[in-house]
Order: sequence, then structure tokens, then C-alpha cells
Amino acid sequence: MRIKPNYLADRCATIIINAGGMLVIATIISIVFIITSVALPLFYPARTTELATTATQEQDIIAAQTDEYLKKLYLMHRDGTLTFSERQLQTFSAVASQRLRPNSSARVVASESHTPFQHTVVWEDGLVALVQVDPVRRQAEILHSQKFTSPPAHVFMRLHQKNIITVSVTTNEAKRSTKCSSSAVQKDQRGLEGGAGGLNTSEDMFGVSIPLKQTSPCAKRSEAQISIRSVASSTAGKEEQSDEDLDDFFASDDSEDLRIRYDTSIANISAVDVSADGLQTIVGTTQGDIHLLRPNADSEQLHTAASADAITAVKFIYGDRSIIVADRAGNVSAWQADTLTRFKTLPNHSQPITSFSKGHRSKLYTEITQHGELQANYLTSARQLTAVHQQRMLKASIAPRDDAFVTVSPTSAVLWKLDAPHPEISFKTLLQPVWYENYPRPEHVWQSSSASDDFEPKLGLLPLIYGTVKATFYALLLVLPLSIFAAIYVNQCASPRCRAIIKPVIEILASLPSVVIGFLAAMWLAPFLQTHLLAFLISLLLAPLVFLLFVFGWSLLPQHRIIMSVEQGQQYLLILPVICLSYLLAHACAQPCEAYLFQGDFLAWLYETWGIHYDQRNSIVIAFALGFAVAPIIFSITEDSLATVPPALTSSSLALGASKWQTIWRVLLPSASPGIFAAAIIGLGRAVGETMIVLMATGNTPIMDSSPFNGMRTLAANIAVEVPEAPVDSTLYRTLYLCAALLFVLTFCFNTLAELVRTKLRGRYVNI
Amino acid sequence: MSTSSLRRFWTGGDIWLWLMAASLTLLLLMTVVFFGIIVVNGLQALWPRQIAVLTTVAGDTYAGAIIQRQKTQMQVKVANRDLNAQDFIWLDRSDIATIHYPEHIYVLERTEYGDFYGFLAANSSDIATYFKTGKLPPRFKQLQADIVAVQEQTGILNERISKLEKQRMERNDTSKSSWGEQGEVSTRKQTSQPLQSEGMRGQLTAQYQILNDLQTELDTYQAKFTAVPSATVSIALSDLVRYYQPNAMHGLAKFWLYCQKVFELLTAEPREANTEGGVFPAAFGTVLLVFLMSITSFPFGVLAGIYLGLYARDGLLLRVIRIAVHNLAGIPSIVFGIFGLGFFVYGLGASIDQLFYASALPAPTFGTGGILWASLTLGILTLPVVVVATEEALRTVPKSLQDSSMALGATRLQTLTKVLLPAASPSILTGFILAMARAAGEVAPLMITGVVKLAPHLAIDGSFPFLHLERKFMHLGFHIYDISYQSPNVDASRPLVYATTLLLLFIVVLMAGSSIWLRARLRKKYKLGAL
Repeated sequence: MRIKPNYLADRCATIIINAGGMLVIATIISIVFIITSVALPLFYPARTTELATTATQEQDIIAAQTDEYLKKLYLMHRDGTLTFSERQLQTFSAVASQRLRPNSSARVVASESHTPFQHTVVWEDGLVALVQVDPVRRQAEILHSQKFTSPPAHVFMRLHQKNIITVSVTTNEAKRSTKCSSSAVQKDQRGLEGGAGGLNTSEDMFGVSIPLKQTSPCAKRSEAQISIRSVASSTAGKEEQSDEDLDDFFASDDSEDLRIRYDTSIANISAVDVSADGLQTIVGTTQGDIHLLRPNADSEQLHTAASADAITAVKFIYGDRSIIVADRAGNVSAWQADTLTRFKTLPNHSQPITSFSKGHRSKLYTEITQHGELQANYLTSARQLTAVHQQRMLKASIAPRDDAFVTVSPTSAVLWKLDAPHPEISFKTLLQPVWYENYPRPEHVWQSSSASDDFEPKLGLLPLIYGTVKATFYALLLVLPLSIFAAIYVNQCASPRCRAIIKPVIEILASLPSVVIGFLAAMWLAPFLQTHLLAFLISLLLAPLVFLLFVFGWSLLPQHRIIMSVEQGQQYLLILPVICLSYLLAHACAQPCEAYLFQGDFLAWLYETWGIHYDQRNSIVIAFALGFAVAPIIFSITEDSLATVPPALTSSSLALGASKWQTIWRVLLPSASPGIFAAAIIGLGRAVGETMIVLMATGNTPIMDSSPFNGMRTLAANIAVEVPEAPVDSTLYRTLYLCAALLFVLTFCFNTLAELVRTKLRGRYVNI
Repeated sequence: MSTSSLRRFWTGGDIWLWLMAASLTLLLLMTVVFFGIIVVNGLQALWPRQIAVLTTVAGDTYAGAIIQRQKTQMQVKVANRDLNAQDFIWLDRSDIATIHYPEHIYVLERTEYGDFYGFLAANSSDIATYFKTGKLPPRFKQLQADIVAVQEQTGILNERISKLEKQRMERNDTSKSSWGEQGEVSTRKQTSQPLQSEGMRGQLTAQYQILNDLQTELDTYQAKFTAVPSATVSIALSDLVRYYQPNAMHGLAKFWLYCQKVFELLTAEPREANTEGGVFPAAFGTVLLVFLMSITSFPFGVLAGIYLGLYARDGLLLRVIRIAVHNLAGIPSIVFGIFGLGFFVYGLGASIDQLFYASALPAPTFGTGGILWASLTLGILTLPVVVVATEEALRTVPKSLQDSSMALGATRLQTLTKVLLPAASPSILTGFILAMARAAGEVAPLMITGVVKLAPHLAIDGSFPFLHLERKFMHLGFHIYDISYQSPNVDASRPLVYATTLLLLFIVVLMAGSSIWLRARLRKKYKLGAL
């Protein structure tokens, strides 16, 4: 049988409509999945993969580092040679080598690295050098060196601005005293035997005596001496730009010497680290104390008891604002450098930690335990990212981009790829107070960017959620009663003609562009309210009084035809002059009130007496603007749900002699209450997601303050403000998508709830 | 008497009725204030104001338009931004001794530095006659026409040169990878082309020389004006947009000027960081955006609506889907915006760039915000509105119509196209208009998908392929946001922003109003039909 063209077309159309319809619906619904899929990587666990291992026979590796692209690696050996190798599949094969000191056979005893490719290398004959390695060109260069009589216990060289700062610690156990000295040398004064002043004992010292600590009752009074000695430079000084804080201290000479001598009484130094600029030294003792030394103009020493056990490792974290400290029991904690207060407890170990290494562009750090286990952690979120294990692991260095690390044992070096794109985020940092660097206490903060590089982004969502709730609360507080009452009035009391006008007008209001409302709120209402704040507040008190008086007076009037006709649904016109009158009255009162009660300036009085700061763009403005945007929606839905209540119900109530109000209160509202609830919920959903109004009229300050005179920043406005500047796939970008997903889920749940309630209500009176 | 009336007062619940009435009044009052302020300020914004000369007690004189009078102060627009530090000043009302309105004061609208208020200086020769008679010197007109002609030519030359350069660069790329003959051919062409473009460059410099000469001659047409209190300024005729003497004008003349200004608002480009001139690019962008949104969103929305309303099998899943689609209309627009950014701009756009515009990378072509992505985002935003409208429209068509059509042997498609859609089309149309109204007023999702404060080119122009979907665009709503919120000179931009707001409000209210009116009429019609 031949299929008729009609049927063919019908069948095709059915297929097309079914497919197309389903496709469109799938597209719409996939929105939420796409948004969530962008946000989700925030919570992925970190992964580590072993990229490659070196294969050497020697047993003398002391340091290793990889390049930015993880293609090249160099090893430093104890005999002072550097081996450069290239990655091929799973192994590194050596391609070149260089001896740092070709004319000496002295062995390297220690190497310390602070920035990638710069190492402080200590030889057994007492020579200390700052070595700059270029892994791409496969060469190394000694930037600066200094000769000591014997290798110091700890020594750090830093290239900071144009200065080379050397901090060395020599312990004298017999005397139980420690000398910590640092010196700064201009960079261009290089050379193997260079170095100024040397480490001669100090003769002409002048300094201040600061009692450092009193440890045990039997100990004698201990003293610390900070001594400053200036040494003239051998080269003719060419001062270029003296813009550094170093110059505050090191005066105008090229090279000067600072000597801090202090007595740790009964404890020995067990761990030392120096900040990037060389101006802060942290010392950990076997007794469990940490000391922070700052050779500033007023040489400062801070010290505190960090642990009951000996300190095994200390490290400045990138940015030099915090210090991590580990003790022999395996406890790790973070301390603020400026006050030396403990502000974080970090993931612990059961074994002592031998060394830390820090990231070069984030607050990442790694720690190595005695048993050769390495853990990579993140300071801000106190998250343990990953753990790896290697035989006889000595130390680790984090790759220049913080995306990998190299672990070193005497026999081999292993390159590990660290795949942790968003280590600073966890549910805890998003939703709980976090103790950030330089903050006095744990706080909820949203501060996504700053001018400085070593800034720690603070992505706490709670200020934004709080702002959203605040804006919604004030808006609904104002507008929920207003629009519900107005809808009841229009539905029950107003004449059909007036209803036929008011309903479409309110519906048109629902489609007003929010940018226009936001514009008017910011440009007209906010300045208006600022100048007329007192009048507004007085009218809030005055209007109910005037209203009550008016209504009571009205009820005393005799029953006349005109009065009856007003009560047939014209009240709203009559009340207009009353409202206007009460505002004018308040306005008239405001001037003398301000002059006599508030010293002529209400806002200043508010600030001085109550400490309330008045922002021009505040919650009252938002209440009006946002309220004006959601009122039509609440009104329309309430009115619709009232209209579904069968007139028979209200008519019979009226016929039985109930008054209008009794009918509304006892009959109409119970029947329509689910609908009104739905209206409120939908209004809530709109207010939560409204963007332009809050963007323009709140000031967008992410603070948590319930005062109605302050602004806020909402989730939606935050997205609009920050997403244009957020780099794709960065933590901020994904966090903003998380905000969007949150908004989506929130409003979707609200709307679904309202929709379910409404469909139930619709079915209720079908049979009447 | 008193106690009984009090009791009646409480038990009757009249106070609640009054409270409800007061709520309605407050809502209506807010509406009236809202529209009142925008309409009054918007209409007044372009009206030529009287220029007053104010003398203070201390003896200072100012000439300017009085913008607003407050209790103790008044704000005066003194303009002359090139002379004064501020073009808007506040004066104490008690300080002012005299105010008078001299008839001969001029308002000059300039292309730079905003308005100028001042008197025509006595000694400026024949050009002064222009300001008296309104007749431009013939030579001046000639010069202007010449300049336009030369500019056109240089434009064409520039375009040709850049095209040649581009071709050569492309050929360089291909010749690197190509072999034998092709390579030879391209090298032969390459040798001829530099000559060509060299010649053109010569022509271009000649043209620029001519242009320069014409410009200098044009700049000699200057008139001298004295500002209040004393400075004398020569103003080039070519910098002049318009001039008038507001104090000497009668109502009708002012109205004519007002009409001209409204026309300028609608058709001219913005000047002076968007604080003056017109909003044509923004209005154009809005219209194009809504149009593109409509053609992408409506067909799919109707398709999905028909599917949901007629074809889908009823069940729990359908109910869930229906609720989900309905609820999407209430999802915040910024969420759609961020979806558009992630999916269209950084997803699709980046892929398109890699496939077709790889030579331009890393500069993005489609991988950045543009009118296509913005309109698609808006399309997704309005899709639920259209779906719901279509579904509801199909539902309101009496079931009997559908049944009788099927009973007469029509297929489902025939019933749909011949019976259901024609009956439902007016209310589907209503849904369209509502969706368009929403799209026209929406700003938040556009801000992150391609709207800019100043777009150098319109998305439609004379160069191939005429419709440039990757271009950024301007939008009325964003224009309002930008100049009210981020303008460096808020006072100067205030009239324009009010006028723009009024324009946008007018468009949106017109669309929403007409759809609501249409719907009300349709409802009435169906009620009668059902009876």
C-alpha cells in the first residue's frame, strides 16, 4: 500500500517535533550541568604522578631543580658539579655538566635554595656562594661569594633588589651563645674573594640591650645584643637608586654589617630560615621556642614558645607574611610573621619533619619526614594535597610554576607532577571563617584581587550570601505586606473598572527593565534619601498615627450616600491625600527636629552617638528599588490565586452577615493562602537573583553588617562585577560559577516549591 | 457613644480594609513617582533652557542655565568646559543679587568641550553674519563637501592597502609550506604587489596632504565670542554642531529645536565619552540584538512548546519537565549570562577560532563576547517564556476544534497547521512580544557576553559580509548603566541618561503593554467563543 504524502508529512513532522522538542528541553536543562561542570573542578582532589627519575650511579646528589616546562633538570653533587639533563619519557639523561669551582677539590656540605635556580652553596673549606643556574643554556654562574673561616651552621644568601644579603648563623656551644650576623653587599661587587668586612669579631659595637627571655628559674638573666657595625666598601660606591627599606638601615654606605648576638640560654638553634629580602630571620630552638629577628632601625626581636618539643624545621611561606614551624613530635603550625602569633594548625605527622620547601607563586609548601615521606600542603586552606614516598629522601624543591616538585635522595632525583589546580579552595574556606595572613582573627572575607603579587585571594562566600539575604530581607519586608494587601484589596474591594485598569498596569510594571529601576534608585532615590533621611524616618512613625486617626475619624462619620460609595472600593483614592499629608508633616517636622535634637546634622549625630555610618547606597534604597521590581510579581500571582477562589464562597459568607474583613480573613485568605505563599516564594526567588538593581544601588561592598544604613554585595552582583576580570578556568572563575550554580539551585528550588503549591491550589476548587 | 463606635471600629475590621487600600495607594504612588521622575526629566532633558546671567553680592557674574533650585543653593550649568574648571557649579541663593536673561546670549553646541555660553563679539567680520542670518559662507560649504570627498577616497585607499598586505601575509604563509609551481607563482605575484601598494601609499600621502590643506583653510572660518564674565574665545565653524539663542526664542521655535534634538538623539553617534550627542548605535544594537534573539529563540521555543503541549506522552517525566521549563523563566538572568560566557564565548567561540580563525590567534575573533553570543544567550533566556506561551496558547484552543478536525480525517500535522496554530497564533504572538520586551530590557547577561560602552563599528555595515556577528555592540540598557554609573562627569551626562532611560522605557512599556492588551482582547474573544 502506498503511503499518502499527507501521512508521510505527518510522520516526518512528528519525528521532527519530537526530536526538536526534546533537544530544546535537553538544552535548557543542560544549563545547570554546564555551570556545575565548570565549578566542580574546585573540589577535585589533587593528584601526583611520577614523571621521570634520574639514573645516576653516584651517591652524592645534594640538590635538584627542574625548569618551568618540566623538560629539563639539573642536579648538584657534593663535589661541586652540576649535571644538566633532559627528560626523555620516564628518565632524565645527562647531557652536560659543569664544575662550580674548577680549581678546588673541596666538597659541598650544604645547599639551600630560595628562588628557583638560585642556590646558596657551602663548601667544606668555608666558602659560601650564591649560584645562579640557567637550566636552558646549561650553565651556572657564581653571583657572589664570601669566605668564612669554617662552614657556618646555617647560611643564606639572598639577591634582593640590587643587594646581596648574607645571613649566617654560627653557634658556639661551649659558650651557649649564638651569633647571627647578616650583611648586605652591592650586587656589582662580585668575585670569589670579595665580600666586605668579613666575619671579624666586633670591637666597636654600640647597641641596645634587650632582655630576651627568662627560661628556667635557675638560669641567669640572659641578654641579647643587637650590634650594628658599618664597614666601608672597598669599591667606589655608585649609589644608583636607594629606594629600598634596606637603605633605611644600611645608611648610605655600600656595604655594612649588622650583628645580632643573642643568648638562647640553655637551648640550641635547631632550625633557621631567612625571608626573601633577608630582613627577617626566624630561628627555632631545641627547647621549642621560635625567635624572629628583624634588623630594622629599632632592631626588633620577637620570641615565643611554639612547642613543648624541639623545633625541627621553620620556613617562610611565599610572601614572607607567615612562617611554618614543625616540631619533633610532627606537629606543624603556621605563625604570623609580624606579631609571631600562631594562626593555623596544619596537617600533622607522626614523625618528625626534617625539612620544608615552599612554592614560588602561591602558599604551597612541602614537608619531608624522617622516613622519606613527602607531603604537599596548602597554607590558606590547610589542605593536604598529596603524599609521596622515596627511599632516603633528603629534600624537595618545588618547580618554578608550583605545578611539580623534585624530590632528592643521595642516589636519585624524581620529578613529580602535582595536579592541584585549586589548592586554596575547600568547603571550609568557602563557608567557614578562615584565618588569613595578617588578620587578627578568623574571618569571612571576600577579596578576590589585590595590587600585589604575593596576595592571598580570600574567597569566602558567606559575605555574599549574607548580602543576598540582607537585600532580599529588606526588600520583602517592605514589599511583601504591601503587594499582598494591595492584591487582596484589588480582588475584593475595588470596582471592576478600577481592577481592569490596575491589573494590566501592574503587569506592565513586572516587565520594566531592571537597569532603569537601578538607575533611578542610584541617581535619584539615594541622594534624595540622604538629604531627606530624617523626614523619611519621622514619616515612618507619623504615617501610622495619622492613618489611625483618619480611619477612626472616618468611622465616626454618619452613613451618607457619598460615604457609602467611597466604601464601595474608592478608599485607595481617599487615602492618597492622607499619605501625602503625613509625609509633608514629617518633612515639616524634620527641619526643626534636626536643628534642636541632632545639632543640625542628623547623619553626623548618627555617627557620633551611635557609631552608625550612613552609606548613600544602602539597604533602604535597595528595599525600595528591589521591592519595586518584585512587587508586581507578588501582586499578580497573589491576585491570580485569589481569583481562583470561587465567588460562591465569599458571597455566601457575606450573605450570612459577615463583614467584608471577616470574609477576607476567615474565608478568602485560608483558601488562597497556598497561592499567597507561592507568590512570596516566587518574589523571593526574583529578589535573590536580581542583578542590575543591586549592582547599581548597593555600593557592592562585601561586608557583613545588618545595619539598614549600609550596603552589601550580593551573589548575582558579584558575578557581574568580577567575571569579566576573571581569567578562564582560574580559581576565581570557577568560584563565580559555583555562585551561579548556587543561585540556580536556590531559585529553582524556590520556584519548584511555588509551582507545586500552585498546581495543588488549582486543583482544589475544580469541583465547585 | 464613644465606646460603641470604638468597638464597631475594631470588630468591623474597617481598619484592615483601609490598610489594604493604603497599600495599594503606596504601590501606585511608587509607580507614579517612578514614571513621573523619568518622564519629566526625560522630556525636559533636551528642552532648550533659558540662560541666566547671575550677579552675586560680591560682584562675580556667571552665565548659565539654572538646573535645580534647592532650599539654600542652586545648581547652575555654566558650560564652557575649556574655560572653567567645572561646568556645573553650586551657588548660594542668598549670595545672588540679580538674575536677568539677556536676549542675545548664544548657546553653541560644539563637538569638543561641550556647550559654550556667550555673546557674539562685536568685531568678528563676515562670519558673524552667519550667526545672524543662519547662512553659511558658500566657500565653507564647498570646503566641507571637499573634505568629505577626500576622506572617502583615503578610506578606500586604506582599505585596499590593508587588503593587499593581508593577501601578501597569507601568501607568505602558504609559500612556506607549498612546493614547486605554486611557490613560483606566488613569488612572482609577490614581486608585483609591493609596487602596487607602494604606489597606493604615494597616493595616500598626497590625499592626506590635500586633506590637511583643506582642514587648515576650514579652520580659518572662526567667530569670536565673549564668555561671561570676560574671556574671548574664537570658535571654529567646523566645530559647531548647532547654535541658538534660547532667551530670544518663542515657544514654537523652542519646540522645533526640541524636535531636532530628539531626532539627533535617535540618529546621531555619541560624543564626549557618551555624555552628548545621540544614542543611535545603542538603539541599533538593541534592535539588532532583539531581532537576532527572536530568530534563534522563537522557532525552537514554538517547537518545544508544541512538543510539550501536543506530542509528548503524559506522565510523571513530562510533569517534571514541564515544571522545570516553567521554572527556568524565574532563573536569574546573570546565571544565563555566565552560562553564555562559559558555553558560547569560551566554549563554542574558542573552538570556532581554532578551526577557522587560527591565523588571527591569539587575538580572539569569536572567542570573545560579541553580538552573536549575546543574542544566543538572550535566546536561551527567553526560550522558557516562548515555550510556556506556546503551550498555554495551544491549551486555550477549545478541545472540540481539535477533535472535530481529527474526526474529519485530518492528520495530526494538518490539525496542527490548519486548525490549532491559526487559532493559537495570536496568543503565541503575545508571548513573543513579552519575550522581546524582556530581552530588550535585560542588561546583566549582556555585560559579560559582549556589550561595550563604545563600539567603533556597527554590526551591520557596507563591507563584506555585511553582518558581522563577532563584533561587540552597544545597548540602550547598558548605555544607561554605563553613563549613569561610570561617567566621569555625572552632571553633564544626566540629561542624556534620562532621555535614554525614557526611550528604553517607552520601547519596553510599549511592547509589554501591547502584548498585555492583546492578551486581554484574546481572552475576551475566547470566552465569547466558548459560550
